[in-house]
Amino acid sequence: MKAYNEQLLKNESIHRQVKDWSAKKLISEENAQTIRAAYPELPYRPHWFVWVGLFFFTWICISAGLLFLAPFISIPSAERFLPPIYGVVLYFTLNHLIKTRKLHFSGIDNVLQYACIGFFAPLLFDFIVPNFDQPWAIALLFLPLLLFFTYRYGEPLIALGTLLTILFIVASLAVESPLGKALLPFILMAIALLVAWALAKFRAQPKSFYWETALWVVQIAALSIVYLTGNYAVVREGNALLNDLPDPSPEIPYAGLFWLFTFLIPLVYLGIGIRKKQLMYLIISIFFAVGSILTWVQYHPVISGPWLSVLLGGVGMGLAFFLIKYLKTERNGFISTPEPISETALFVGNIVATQLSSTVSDTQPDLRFGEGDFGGGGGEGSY
Amino acid sequence: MKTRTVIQELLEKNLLSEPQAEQLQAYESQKPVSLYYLLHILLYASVSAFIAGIGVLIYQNIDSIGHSVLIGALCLLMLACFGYVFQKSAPFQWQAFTDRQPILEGILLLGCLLFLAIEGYVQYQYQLFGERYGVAVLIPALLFFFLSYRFDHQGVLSLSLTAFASWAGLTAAPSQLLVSNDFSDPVIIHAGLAVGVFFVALGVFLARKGIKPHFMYTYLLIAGTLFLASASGGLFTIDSWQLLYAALIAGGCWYFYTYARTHGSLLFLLLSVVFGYTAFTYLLFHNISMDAGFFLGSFYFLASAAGVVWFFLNFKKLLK
Repeated sequence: MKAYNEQLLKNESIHRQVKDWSAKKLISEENAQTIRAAYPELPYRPHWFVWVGLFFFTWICISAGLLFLAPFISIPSAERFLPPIYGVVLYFTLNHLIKTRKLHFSGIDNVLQYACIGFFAPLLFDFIVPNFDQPWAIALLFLPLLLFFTYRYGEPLIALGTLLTILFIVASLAVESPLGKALLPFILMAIALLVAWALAKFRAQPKSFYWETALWVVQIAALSIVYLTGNYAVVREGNALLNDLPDPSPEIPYAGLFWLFTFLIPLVYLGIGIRKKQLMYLIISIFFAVGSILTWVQYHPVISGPWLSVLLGGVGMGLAFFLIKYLKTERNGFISTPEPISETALFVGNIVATQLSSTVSDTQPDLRFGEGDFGGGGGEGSY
Repeated sequence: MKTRTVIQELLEKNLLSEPQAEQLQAYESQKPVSLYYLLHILLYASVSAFIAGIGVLIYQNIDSIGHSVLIGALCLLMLACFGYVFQKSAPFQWQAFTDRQPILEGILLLGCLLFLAIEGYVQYQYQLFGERYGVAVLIPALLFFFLSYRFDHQGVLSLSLTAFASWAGLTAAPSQLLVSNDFSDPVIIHAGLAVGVFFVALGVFLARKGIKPHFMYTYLLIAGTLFLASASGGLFTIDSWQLLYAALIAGGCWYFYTYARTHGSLLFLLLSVVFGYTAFTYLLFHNISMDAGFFLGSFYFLASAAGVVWFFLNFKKLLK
């Protein structure tokens, strides 16, 4: 059932470990060589920049291939069955390439998987017309295909789509009854929490290895949904939207409880991140903490937008400077020593700098500093 | 794969000895989590939020006392940033700094962005440079150029290069390159070509002299991409000089490709393929009749894109 050769993925993982041990001089170079020789075959996983090229040009190939269907387009209801047939062709191409070229998330196999799923969609057109008022029914019909792809390939984006499809079906069914509508945030939060908990358990087991990336992405998504369904602003505005209430949105029942969720969940994630030493929890806790502050200011405007931005930026810089200095040596299982600069980091550093300067020039009134622009936007005057 | 499983398997296959396995297990269980990238992202996101807020604030409540205090405080902060960096940084080196100092890099960038914000404000409020807008842009360009070399900061160099491009009436930031420039205007195209060639040449010259050779990456990323985008603009809009622009693109792509080969840079490999492919495809379809174009098109795109995919899959072997 699994499309990728698990042994190759295992070999790759072992090579990565050995590289780290060898760099830290924990094992000798000869020893590392012997281990590598025992696990020789590796999957093809290109660098990020090559990945982009492969993805883009494979997509062109798939689109150009469609032109070969042109002679058959005059056959009655061709638009229904031709795409799925093309989908099947792509499916076999995908499996063939994975086998012969040892691809693993190389851009080529990713885009082929998206295309396969996409080309099966017209099959459902027949169901759309009678069920147009029930989009969840279409989602339900699509779900087996998504589950099959997630199991067979473990592609992160498709796995994420599967989770969102399930939540969409549940939410659509819930809002059909008044009680379900009222309990919607709690229902979604309970499901997301259950998913996050189950994934944490499953990820701890060795057999979860094949779906490693997908599980990681879906777990982040589930944790984010737990936060979002408890966030006061999301619930209040969502409530107004679902019930067609006028703007500004009215206060919601149990507001206190949702405020508690809004501030408690980021803190809980931060606690888990520090205690379990998990970077994922730390990252999302920072994001959500900022989200919670913005939520508070949205409904209790104690500070103007620009001042809040300056304040948050100032606190963030202070925290970053302090931690970079504080973690020069290991503390409580965390460290921050400079890592060898990768090409991606170098590229991002250059792009971010020009982007930041565009932030400055975007906020300036018409200064007419030449027609060009330091970064982007603005620049209407003449030089 | 879980580390414990890997160690267990290697032990069973006699690829590790018992004491080695124990040592590795101990190392793995005590290995600290690196927050290096997380703290960097936090730092840059915070600088961004700070500067965005400041950018709005300095134009609010102009003429009030609180406003003057704010501008004064920002000037002091900027001077403090530059002063701190000058005091704490390692002395100038011709090569890359061996020890990277993330805090100093962040403070320097903050100082530069504050300089931009304050200078913009002074020009707006007091017309310090009058109508000589060029001077107002050249000052930060030159200052950042100096600072980038002094403190070995490629981000500040890219700020300087985008400022120089702005002086010539261009937007060189890669994210805005194709959006903010009107590449159907011959003046913009030629300015882009000139700025691109000048700075790539400057980068090559300085690198050959042994002055911060690693800065070549930034020169090529900002100025080289500007050159290729301008030449593509020329190819698409000025038919009478089509071959000349095609030759310029070919030359630029060849240079990117050579740099990618010698420096193992995959970004420039990608850029050279994308620019080269786009130009070649445009030339081909622009110069054949429409009827032939449709039939040829379906085969061409399939075959050429498959060819590029094949190239990406095999370039490591080809480059050897």
